[in-house]
Amino acid sequence: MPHPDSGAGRASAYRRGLLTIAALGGLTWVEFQLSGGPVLPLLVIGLAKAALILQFFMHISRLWKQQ
Amino acid sequence: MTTAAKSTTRARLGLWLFFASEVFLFGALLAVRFHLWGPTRPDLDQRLGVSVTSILLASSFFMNRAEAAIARGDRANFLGSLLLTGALGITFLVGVIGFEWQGELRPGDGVFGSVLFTMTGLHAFHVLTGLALIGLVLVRGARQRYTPESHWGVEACAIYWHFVDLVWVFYYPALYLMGSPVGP
Repeated sequence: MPHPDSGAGRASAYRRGLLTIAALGGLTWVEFQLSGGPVLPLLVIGLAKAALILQFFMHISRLWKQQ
Repeated sequence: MTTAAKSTTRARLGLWLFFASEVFLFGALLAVRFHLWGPTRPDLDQRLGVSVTSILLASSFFMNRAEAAIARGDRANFLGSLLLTGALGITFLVGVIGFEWQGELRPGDGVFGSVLFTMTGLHAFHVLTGLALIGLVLVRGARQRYTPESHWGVEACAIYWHFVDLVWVFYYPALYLMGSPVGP
């Protein structure tokens, strides 16, 4: 895995952001299609979107990593 | 670990503890929605709902880009992305307050009105405070107060903005998608 401060690390940070927003957009489209349907799939999609935001946008793992 | 690194670690932990308290607040309103609305919901504009949701998600993408840009010292990209994030945040507020709140449903229209306006109102207030933070970071960023090595202010603002997005990830399906629509 490239170091975050290296050139490859920076490019990978941008690419990760793009992949995350693409996944979030896709999941939002799926939940829109499920409108009015059963609650469980919508809840699972919501949890998946939350996990993506927590991991890749909010960087929750920094909480237990050394500076 | 240096003193500055320790300070950032403590500040980060404090911010996440604040989010933990916020989860109880937003979670309580979510519980109220399911208790009072049950398997029904008001007949809201679906296109407006998915539009404001997409706008908020896009704003999170640009906020993430702004944070990555300051970490690599790309000031122009940082300021531009932050500006776009703010513009998208304002657009989200216009969608909720300027359009959704101007529909047939009023705050006094029983459980549908009161729950909808309380949930979207509290969330909109957080978007507004997020916009104030973005404005502050923009001003400080323009004055070159952040460096690739030291930009906790940007990170804190970004995490707060993503938290506001995270709340909407659950509010959007709860308000617009779950249950059968019933006229106001």
